[in-house]
Amino acid sequence: MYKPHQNIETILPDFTGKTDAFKEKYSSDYTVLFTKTVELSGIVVSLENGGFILDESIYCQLKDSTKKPVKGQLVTVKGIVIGYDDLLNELKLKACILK
Amino acid sequence: MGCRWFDTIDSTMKHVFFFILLSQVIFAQKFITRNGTTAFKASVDTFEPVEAINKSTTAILTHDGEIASQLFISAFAFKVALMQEHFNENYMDSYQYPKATFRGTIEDFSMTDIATPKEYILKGVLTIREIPKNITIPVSIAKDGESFRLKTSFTVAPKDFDIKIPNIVRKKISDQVNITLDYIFDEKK
Repeated sequence: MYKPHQNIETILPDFTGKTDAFKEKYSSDYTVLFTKTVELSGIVVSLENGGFILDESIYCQLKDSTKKPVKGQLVTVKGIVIGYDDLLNELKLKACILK
Repeated sequence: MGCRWFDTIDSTMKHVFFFILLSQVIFAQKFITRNGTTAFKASVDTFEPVEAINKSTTAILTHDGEIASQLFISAFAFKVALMQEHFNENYMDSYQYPKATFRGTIEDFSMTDIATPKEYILKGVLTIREIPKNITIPVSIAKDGESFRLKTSFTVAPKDFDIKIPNIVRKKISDQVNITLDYIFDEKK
């Protein structure tokens, strides 16, 4: 009947790889990733407001009831890019799950 | 020899440095949220509910009551995926105008006197689809442990932001949209 919402578990990512390769490829223009799904590997720098900061400048908001990683952990996280937050100078991902 | 000059002002300088450091700590004190809840309702009785929730709002609150916040339109979640698609593509043009922002000041705000929830007046500029509009709204702020919790509810009109609602659905979408905010600010370390 109704078209279902995107499911983060099953959707194929538009980018898969390490955060440094990701930043090199997209940091000049993150807008092309608007609402796209990405799968990133990097280090959890700190735990913040319902999610964590990945490698300094990527905020990953965890999907509800997802287990939090610990600071310093190497993670692979899959999430939806919602935009570049220029108040905090971070790329913002939502609905993140850890792989 | 050169060191003697430093020795004489050493004690004074220490005080000056200490004062500068202290004032930076105080003046730079900021509280932030990255997962603030912004919800809206534009429902009309007897029709399907038109409502959505954005749980990814960023906001910064300073010690003297300055607020800056920002959200991404595409992060509003609707119950019905098709309604979400229409909202982004037909009403909000969220690819062209991805953000809504607010900048303003809480009048007579002081972090020291809110041990109990308190009502304040928040004045500022709400910008949606790059159209700025002055708003003045009451907000309630409470200190919750080490965090501050801001709540409010106010009304805006889609036409103020040039949001065009086609005739065919006009009766199903209210011309007064109720917006509620619930932000928990943690100290920025």
